Amino acid sequence: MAAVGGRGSQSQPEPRSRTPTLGTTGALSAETLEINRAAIELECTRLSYSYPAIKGSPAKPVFHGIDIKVCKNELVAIVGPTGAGKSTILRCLGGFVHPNEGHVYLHGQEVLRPSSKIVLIHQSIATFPWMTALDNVKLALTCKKVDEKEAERTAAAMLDLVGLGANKSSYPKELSGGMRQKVAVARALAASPSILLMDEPFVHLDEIAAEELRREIHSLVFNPESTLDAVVLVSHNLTEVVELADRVYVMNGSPATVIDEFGIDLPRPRALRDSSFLLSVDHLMGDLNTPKTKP
Amino acid sequence: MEPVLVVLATLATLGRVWLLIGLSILSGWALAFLSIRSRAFETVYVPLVNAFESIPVIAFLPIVLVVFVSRLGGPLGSELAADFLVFDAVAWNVWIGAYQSFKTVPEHLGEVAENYNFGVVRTLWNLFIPHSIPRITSNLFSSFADALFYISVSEVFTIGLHTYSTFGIGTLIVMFTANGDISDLILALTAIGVAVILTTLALTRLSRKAVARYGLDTRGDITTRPGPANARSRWLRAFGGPRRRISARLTRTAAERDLRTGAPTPTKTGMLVKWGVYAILLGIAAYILYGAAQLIVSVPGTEWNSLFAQTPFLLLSMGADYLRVFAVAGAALAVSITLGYYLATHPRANEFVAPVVQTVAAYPAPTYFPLFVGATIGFLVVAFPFGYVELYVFILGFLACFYYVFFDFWIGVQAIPSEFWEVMENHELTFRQRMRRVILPATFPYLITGISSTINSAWAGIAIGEFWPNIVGNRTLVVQIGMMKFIGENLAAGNVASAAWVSLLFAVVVVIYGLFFTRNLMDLARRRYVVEEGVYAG
Repeated sequence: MAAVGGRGSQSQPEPRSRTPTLGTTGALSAETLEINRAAIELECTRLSYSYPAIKGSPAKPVFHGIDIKVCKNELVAIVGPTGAGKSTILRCLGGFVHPNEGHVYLHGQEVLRPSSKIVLIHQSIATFPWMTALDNVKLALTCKKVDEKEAERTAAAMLDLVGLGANKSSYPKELSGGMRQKVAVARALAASPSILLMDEPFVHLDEIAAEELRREIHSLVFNPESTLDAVVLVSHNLTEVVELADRVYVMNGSPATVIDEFGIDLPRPRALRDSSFLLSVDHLMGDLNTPKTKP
Repeated sequence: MEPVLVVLATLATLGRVWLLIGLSILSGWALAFLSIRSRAFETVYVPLVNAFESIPVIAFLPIVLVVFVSRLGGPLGSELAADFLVFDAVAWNVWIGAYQSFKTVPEHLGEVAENYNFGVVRTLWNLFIPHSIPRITSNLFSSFADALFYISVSEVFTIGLHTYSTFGIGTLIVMFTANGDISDLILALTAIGVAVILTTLALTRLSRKAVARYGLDTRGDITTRPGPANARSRWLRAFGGPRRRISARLTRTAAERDLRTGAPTPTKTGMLVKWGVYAILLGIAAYILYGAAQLIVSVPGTEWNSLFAQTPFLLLSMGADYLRVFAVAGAALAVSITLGYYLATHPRANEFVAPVVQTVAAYPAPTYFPLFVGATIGFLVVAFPFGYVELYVFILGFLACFYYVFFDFWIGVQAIPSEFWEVMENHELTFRQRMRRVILPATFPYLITGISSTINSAWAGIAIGEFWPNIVGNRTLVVQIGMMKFIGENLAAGNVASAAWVSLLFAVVVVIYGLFFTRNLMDLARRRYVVEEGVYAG
């Protein structure tokens, strides 16, 4: 039986100090959420963002005062209703979008622009149609001035890793949606990033392909050859979140704030019909159905 | 000179241009409808329109002379000749727009029309015509610019000792230039400037309204995040159409189908309309063919021998012109890629520069070119004694075509999905890497279209610039060798047969070029470089 702990829609928490551990009991309580600051890989503080004012209408605040911490070997999920600004937060974390307030730090250094240390995987699977799968992956190595042969070897290894070793010469349109997303994952991993940001990566896949990729993604991104320290996943699919995440930030309200933060300590691979699993999903559902609160 | 006369002449020209644009829209709808109803008609119509679009207006002068000036004569002949030339400048663009709109009416709407048994007229009125309005409206920008570009050639032309003219600002500008009447010339240019700005503003509003009211796809308006890809400004919405027509040509989606199978069942009215249009078209074609046949018969055998003997030289002259055209197109491409990329990635500059470029593009270069030549020739003759004429031809060619490839590339860059920009930023690609691996491949279909239009338009500038009698005072701008110079000189000497012969040769080359070069590149673009396929969404 999982005990799910959180802080509900209470006031913003003080930073906690704890190293989250993945247990096998399927239990994680509020007191286990304390985070060891030394283990923090990526952190954002008091992040706020508004869509710019358009003629006649004022700027629209999207989210406000967001604090997120991501520790080593963690897969952190951000969930929230449509329009809560989940994807925008992800882009702030990656330096693609500059927040109106707040800062993002990677290993203590402020993130000011995108770099290959933090790589984003898009929900609308972005592969270049004029490049083969191998060339798409090699693209991640071009900026690093890797020798052509070495780049080819690394890219091929990454494609092997995601199970597309036989499709190196295929163009994206010759691949299924799931295979294309695997190309995007291979490209991301080839860049040797510290942090992987995933923006609803399974949303455009059919359920079977999505489930297959979900089962593989954790072992893919945290495989021994990967340089990844942590993953941040944005999703509105609660089952997916409970299946993948070690810790979850729940956003709600307008402008959105973090209304809950809790850990999921279930053994992997996770059983989707397990009562602990379903309890976690119910908890998330409860959070999202909570009446929206103003900060 | 009375300013009132200048205003009246400007209004006359605008009236002529808009009347003929209206006529081309009406005829475009009729022809487009025939195309989607009859595969036989479509098979002839589409390649023909594409081929004619590639031929500079000036190459039609011999036909105009035969059909309108010689046969009809008088003020009516001159007026119809000018109308034909203006129509030629505007029609192809509008016709292609109408055809492509009709071809891409969404399947589900076609089914509704069938379901409710609309019949031909109601289907046209309620479905095809409304669906075509955004695209046609957008195409009006380039049609209007093309019509004005040729206005000084269309409204007045000299054959031998005879000058044929009709009332309009083009005629006045030629007259003021010939008389060295600078103050009136500036007045006339100002009047055109005002007309161009007002028309561009009106067209922009019209285009936005058309998209808002009749557009099916409003994705471009739903932007919430800043960034290059979301810099799809209102100007893109306004100007996207004419260029998007080409990308539409390249990227038919599954939702778009050949409506021939779903077109309404022919009714009696529909059949009458169809055969009526066929009859009109046949009549026009027969009249033109009759005129051409008369010309051919009237040419004596010795003249034919002379024409055949001149052919190698004419082909050489055509080669020289192609070199000029490629030089101009190359320069336009280089400038367009640099400027287009800068604007697409700098939204603020984009909002300001894009409308300015559009307005300048619509301002007809031949109207102010004599002033430019007058101001610079003294210096250039000394600085480039052997190359100044070529330089002027190059500049006029550039002014005639630059904006085509610029807007194509600009729209192509902005059509690159935001995800691609993020991947480029994420993997820290340098400018060169971005260009080579993403931007140029992603914009390849747009570039092919742009280069194709650019080459066609460069001909326009070169056609006018190669032989320009009395451009400043008694000075004539004339190149050493060139096909357009040959046409111009022969027309000025009243030798219509030679001009017609070289026009025919040119038309053949243009069609061959279109078939083997443009078409192959477009096929390649269609097969490989479709940026929309790069983002997978279920």
